[in-house]
Amino acid sequence: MELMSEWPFCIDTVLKTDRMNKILIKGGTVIDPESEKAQRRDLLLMNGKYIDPTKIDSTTEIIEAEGHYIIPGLFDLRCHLNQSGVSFQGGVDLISNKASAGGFTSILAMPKLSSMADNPETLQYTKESIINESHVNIHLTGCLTLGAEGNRLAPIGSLKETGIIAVTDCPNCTQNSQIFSKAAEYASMFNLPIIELPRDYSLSPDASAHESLLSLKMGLKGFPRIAEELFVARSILISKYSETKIHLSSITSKGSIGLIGKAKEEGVQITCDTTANHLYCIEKQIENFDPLSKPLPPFRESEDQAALMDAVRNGIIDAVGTGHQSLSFDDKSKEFDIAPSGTLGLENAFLQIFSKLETNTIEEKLTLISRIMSKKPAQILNLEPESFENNKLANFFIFNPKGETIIERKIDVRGSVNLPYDKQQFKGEILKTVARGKLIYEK
Amino acid sequence: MVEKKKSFLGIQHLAIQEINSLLDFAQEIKERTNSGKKVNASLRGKRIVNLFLEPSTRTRIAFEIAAKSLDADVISIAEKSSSLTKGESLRDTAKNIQALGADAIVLRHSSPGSAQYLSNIISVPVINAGDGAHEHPSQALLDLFTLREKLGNLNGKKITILGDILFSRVARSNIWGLLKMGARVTLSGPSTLVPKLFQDFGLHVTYDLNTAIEGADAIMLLRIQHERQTQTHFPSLEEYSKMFGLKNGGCKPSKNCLILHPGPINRGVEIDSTLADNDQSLILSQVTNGVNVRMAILHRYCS
Repeated sequence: MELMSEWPFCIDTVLKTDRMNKILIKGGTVIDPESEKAQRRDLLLMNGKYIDPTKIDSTTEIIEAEGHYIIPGLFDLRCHLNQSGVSFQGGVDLISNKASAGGFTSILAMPKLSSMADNPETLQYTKESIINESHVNIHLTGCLTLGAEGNRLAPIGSLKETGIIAVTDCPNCTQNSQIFSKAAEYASMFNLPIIELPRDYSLSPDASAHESLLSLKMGLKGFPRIAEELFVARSILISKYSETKIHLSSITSKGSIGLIGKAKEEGVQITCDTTANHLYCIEKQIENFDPLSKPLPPFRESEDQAALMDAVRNGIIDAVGTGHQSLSFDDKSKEFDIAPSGTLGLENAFLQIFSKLETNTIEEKLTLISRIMSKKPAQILNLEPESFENNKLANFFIFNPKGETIIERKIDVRGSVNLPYDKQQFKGEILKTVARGKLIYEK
Repeated sequence: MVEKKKSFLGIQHLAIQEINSLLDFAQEIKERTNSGKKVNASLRGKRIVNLFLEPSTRTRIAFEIAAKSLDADVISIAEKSSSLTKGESLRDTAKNIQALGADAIVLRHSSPGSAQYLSNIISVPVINAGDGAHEHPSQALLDLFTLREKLGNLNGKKITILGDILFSRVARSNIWGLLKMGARVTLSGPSTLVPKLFQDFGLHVTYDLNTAIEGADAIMLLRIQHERQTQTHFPSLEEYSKMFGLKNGGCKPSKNCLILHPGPINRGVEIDSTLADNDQSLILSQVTNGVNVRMAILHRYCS
């Protein structure tokens, strides 16, 4: 309850979820992920599932959505559930709330849970005690190596049996190429994609910023583009060699885009994402040594940002995630190079992309967003994308493009500290989010 | 509401007028001291806390002498004798020092940006005595002071900075200061320690020692921090000395060229003893001037 008090809408949520029988979402424009078209149509939900919209009756509750868009629930490919200063369950609740406020209905949890997801027991416990109860769909990954330390393979087959849908050591990166290559081969036997946050540690020791003129001026140790690109190239070559599916997470460098584009042309089974924060921010964000703004990987230069944006449009980048990592003020309030890396992303990701993407029409923009933030993430993980077909469980959010949203740091509110910026006003507002058939957020 | 006082954080964002004014003031202090006159006790009753969380001899002692010369009460804290060893954060340590009545904190810390970070947390002035590889502004001021004393106006003068530029806060602060004074700055040293990207600061980078020192009005040597670099950034101290060391027998600056070094010197590595101790060398003048310059800084920012 202590956590609930920080989220007034939670109480509302609990009440509403119980009385959600027949609900008509009326007059909105639906962004259909399958046809990738915007269609004005009504949606009728019964017990959380879509049914024939003509079957309304006198008890049907009506939600007016005139002028609003109904968008398939977003799917985050990189979310870190662990956070200090709060119980694991409390952290998952906070993340669920942030996710729902940002239009996310599914997240992929990185393997650092209450302990490392390198054994079936941890995963089973997490699943039964926490994940099954959460408001949003939380999908689990398992470690690629024991403890995500990069030395010995984790029991990937046993982890698969407990329900993981991908393997990764993220935010760590397996440095040993033999282990990484064998893990890719081994995981492919179970049809599990490997996710890698590419980084050569030997080329970026103690790095806390993008290697550039700015890091040189600030005296910070740099994470050069090549430290990412070298491991992007490694993944491409290993994917090609072992004919395995590898997904590269949180790509930031323009050089990586070139490598991935070429590999895709050759038919290599490589996919990648970047984060909404990296599409929105550049290295300038840290020029005042603000530890709250310190992300992982680092923000790079405007030329990288432009290359990432182009790649989102032309499909070289398959998906956009958040890299959401909630850190407390105590964790973050340290000297810049010592402070842990990581920024918040769930609440702000959609609004950032909506403000940054340039398209001819709003419909075109929302269709593209629904592709990169909902459909593709599911496909990368071998899951069925969201759809508005009858009998499907509802996962969507209602968006008013004419509204406004202010996203700001609240140092005294858990899970609201480490936004990459202090305060931003965005066009548009997320009005309601429905996940697993239940209304879980209402503005 | 107590008004927040200005901190002394770095040369990069310091206006040229402020730099010149500090140097002029340091000059005045030096002249008064040399002529036996008393310097105004402008910090009487003020508590200056030297929070030195990295080893330092020259800077710490110079700040202590400077503060005492202005009649301040000086308290020096080293990392090993502070609660930082018990896991207290810099944030809390500094807040406690402020609560104990400090009127200014002189900070030496290994993290770039730590002085700025602290200045955002506490309301008393923070004097940056070196923050990681970011800035060492009092060192740069004393170097500028020493150069100005010998060369006069630095506009158009060729000043070469030689050695480990990449990891050096002294180099960065001096680059900003020298460029603001209109000097022509050349950097040299192994390419691994002098990235070409430094050229974008508006200076010249060369890996040829002869080109670097030819026609130089002064050479500023930097200490090779060999403990962490011999394995990855250059092969050995012997090779460094052979390629980039200043020595009588090999690559040697002209007789009129001044030699500076912020210390501590690795004799026989960056420079031969015969050169370090001859008339061209300003190494000890730098140390002496350091007191006057720090008196000027403390007076301006803490009184």
